[in-house]
Amino acid sequence: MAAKKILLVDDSKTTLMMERAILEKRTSYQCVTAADGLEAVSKASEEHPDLVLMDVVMPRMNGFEACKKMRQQPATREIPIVLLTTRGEESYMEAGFQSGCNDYLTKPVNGDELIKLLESYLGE
Amino acid sequence: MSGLDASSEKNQMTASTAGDRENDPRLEAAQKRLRESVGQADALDAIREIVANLLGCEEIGLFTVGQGKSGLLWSFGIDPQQHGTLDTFGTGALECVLQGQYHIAQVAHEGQNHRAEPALRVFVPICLNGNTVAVLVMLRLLPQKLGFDEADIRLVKLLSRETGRALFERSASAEA
Repeated sequence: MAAKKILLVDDSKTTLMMERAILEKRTSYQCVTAADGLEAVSKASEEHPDLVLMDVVMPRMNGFEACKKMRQQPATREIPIVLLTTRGEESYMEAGFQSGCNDYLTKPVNGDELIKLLESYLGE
Repeated sequence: MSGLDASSEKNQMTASTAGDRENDPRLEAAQKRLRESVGQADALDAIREIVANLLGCEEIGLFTVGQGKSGLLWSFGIDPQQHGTLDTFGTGALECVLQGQYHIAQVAHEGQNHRAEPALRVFVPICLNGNTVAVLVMLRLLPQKLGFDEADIRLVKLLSRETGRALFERSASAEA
């Protein structure tokens, strides 16, 4: 069975390196990356990931907009999207869910919490 | 009613082990990011990313030190007009920091406005060739971050050890 693929989206190289390190060490998920929302929309169509883990505040296109775009495209409409941000306020989370995300995580990322959430969508 | 619980910690820097890095993806990512930074601007980006995204601090200042003086080199979220030198933080801990020890002062407020006063002050000596050449100041945690734990301390130690080379040594050779 092919490994599940996760699209990691963040303009912070450090965050991408950390997420990749967590997932490669502790899971069998395959990782692909994008540096902003625009690249994420394009990569999601090309790579058909099983899940998208995406930052909100990014240049060119933010996570909310990218989420809306993916929900409008038939090829990416059903992909689970988890948004990741420093802001945990209720209004911010509400905006995330309105953009079509499935879940929300706040930074700093807790490895255990991240894996538990991903497994709830993808299985172990 | 307001309550105040203050604790401070001073520690000599020690190197994190390969085992620490193996077990903590944050250490691995931070070290890789700093070592792969190209030029001072990229090294400063790396510091901002590590402090904001991995440690959860919202305000950062980097001060160069030498000959009894300090000066703000770069900041994010900290008002440069208000904090142009380290003296503006008015803490007795700076003497220890300049001698290579980190200092964390964590103050828990109850019933007070968290935004009015930073609940956390972290001073990290940036060492190069055995000397403290700069001090990294971090203030104010993200609301969802409750404090610094052992893993955060290991990351602080890594910043102390790795940042000097990224900022002042490799940057100089990259920009030459």
